[in-house]
Amino acid sequence: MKAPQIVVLAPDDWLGNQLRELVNDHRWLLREVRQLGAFAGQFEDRRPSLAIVQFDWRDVCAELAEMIVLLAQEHPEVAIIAVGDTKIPEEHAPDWTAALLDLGCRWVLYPPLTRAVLEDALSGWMTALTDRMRWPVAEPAIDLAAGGYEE
Amino acid sequence: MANEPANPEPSPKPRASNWRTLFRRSQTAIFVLNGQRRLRYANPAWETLTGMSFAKLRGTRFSATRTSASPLWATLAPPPEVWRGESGRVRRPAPGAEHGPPWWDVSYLPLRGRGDRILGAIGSIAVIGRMPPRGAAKLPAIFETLRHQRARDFTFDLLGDSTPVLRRLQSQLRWAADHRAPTWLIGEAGTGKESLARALHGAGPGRDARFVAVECADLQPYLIEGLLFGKGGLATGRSAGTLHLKNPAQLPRDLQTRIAAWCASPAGPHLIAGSPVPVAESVASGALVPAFQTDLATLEVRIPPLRERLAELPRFLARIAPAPTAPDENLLRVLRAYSWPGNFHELASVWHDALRRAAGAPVQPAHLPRFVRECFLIESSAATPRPSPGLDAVLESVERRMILRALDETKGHQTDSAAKLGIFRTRLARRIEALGIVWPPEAAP
Repeated sequence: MKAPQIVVLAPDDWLGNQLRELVNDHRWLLREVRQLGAFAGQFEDRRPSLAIVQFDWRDVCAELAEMIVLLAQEHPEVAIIAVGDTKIPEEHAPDWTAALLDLGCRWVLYPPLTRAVLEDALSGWMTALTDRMRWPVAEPAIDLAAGGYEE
Repeated sequence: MANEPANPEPSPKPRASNWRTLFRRSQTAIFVLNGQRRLRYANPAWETLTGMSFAKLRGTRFSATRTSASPLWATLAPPPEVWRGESGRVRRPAPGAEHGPPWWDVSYLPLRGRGDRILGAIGSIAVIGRMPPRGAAKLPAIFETLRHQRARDFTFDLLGDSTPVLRRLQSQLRWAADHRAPTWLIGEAGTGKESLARALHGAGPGRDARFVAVECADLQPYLIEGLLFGKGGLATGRSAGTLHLKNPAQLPRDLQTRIAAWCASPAGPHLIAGSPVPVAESVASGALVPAFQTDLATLEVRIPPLRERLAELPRFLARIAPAPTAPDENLLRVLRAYSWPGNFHELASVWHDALRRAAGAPVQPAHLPRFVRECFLIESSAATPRPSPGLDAVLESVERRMILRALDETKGHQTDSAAKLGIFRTRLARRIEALGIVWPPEAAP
């Protein structure tokens, strides 16, 4: 199995900096992408992958929503985590969370974000993804010794 | 008083059996459509709720596709199952609310005529939620378009209907979808439980609300608690129409109890749980609180693993990623020989890998990983065993080897060889002739 990776789509390096230590500790790959167009191409080689998408709930562009749906359709094995850029009023949070999960995100986080919460969420997801791609070894369909052909 | 009649006529009371009177008095908004989906009746409560006059709208056709005139037609259009003769319920944003709240829960009762012909339907409306305050944030309209587009990918056709087991499974799931019955999908990892949960959500009356999948294994419980019950958590709103809880037995029991109470409440979501082991087994082992079994397990269905559904392999491969040409029988035989312990996750991984190796050419067995091909080789060698040689041939072979060995040891002296073998010399001579033994072997022609 190839090394797991975290791909961050964010306008700046704040999120990447928060994750760098966690990524180094686990020897994962960290890729930071600034352009939406380059994001989907990061998941062509199949490996345990977390896609982290930073969004501003006041200004979500249609392309970002389309990209989330496309990624969820074409790479269901990739866990998409949406991370809010700005604080969201409490009364709007359930609608946004439910809408993003419905589109195909696996988790939604809003500020205030601490490094501990980010690390717990991402390491939990990475464990789940790694386990999912490490399926049990298949046993041979026929037991040769029992069949008498062991020579 | 003198002018009053001695026996005044009682004022005409409305007849209780008159359905129009009952409907007129009802505070529930009720309307009746005929078989052509045209409005034939609406009560005053309906007029108050919609702000429209029945007299003006009489005969208007209610269709989900007709949105140009008024959003009301689309909101009140019955779902397809009503025209198949099943009762139905949908939750849709109230006209003008865009995505809700408020929502209208519209229930429909089909009116059957002779020969199961649908004469029409009676609908009633319940208002859920209140209009948010002015200035509240709205979700972008593209979200709604995209979720409908995504929902089209998830239908019960995913299961297939090639066997009686799968056909029964489909009908059970349709029933669960129609009745919003709490359902447990039991199956190994990778058998497609989440896809089926989405199909269940999409086929039910709550299809217009959100589908929310929550992974419980491997995540810290405080994260899940925060997502569901924290400030601005899903349980504080009413957006989540269906909650797909994956492996809830992995959660702490106090959190399980909170989730069970939320799902069992009238405002709670439709629970579709996924687990590798049956509910009763999890409850018996103490991993799951009993409320999940007693209140939230109306239906439990076992999703067969991929190895039991290999007959439909071509369909599954086409769904994962269509190949330039359909996979040939040779390739399918190799794929079917493998037991796929990782189910669809593993199949998807192997198939994507094979397509990449084939680089646009038809996929051949050589493009598959070695462990898949090896299973096929083992199975094919076992499937064509060598014919048994038979007892006589085995005895002759043993006899020949013993005689040759004795002759070797005595340098071809037949009397000594016979003594070594414990037989008379004449018998040895007969056996040498019968078996065609030549000694020394170099003397053979």
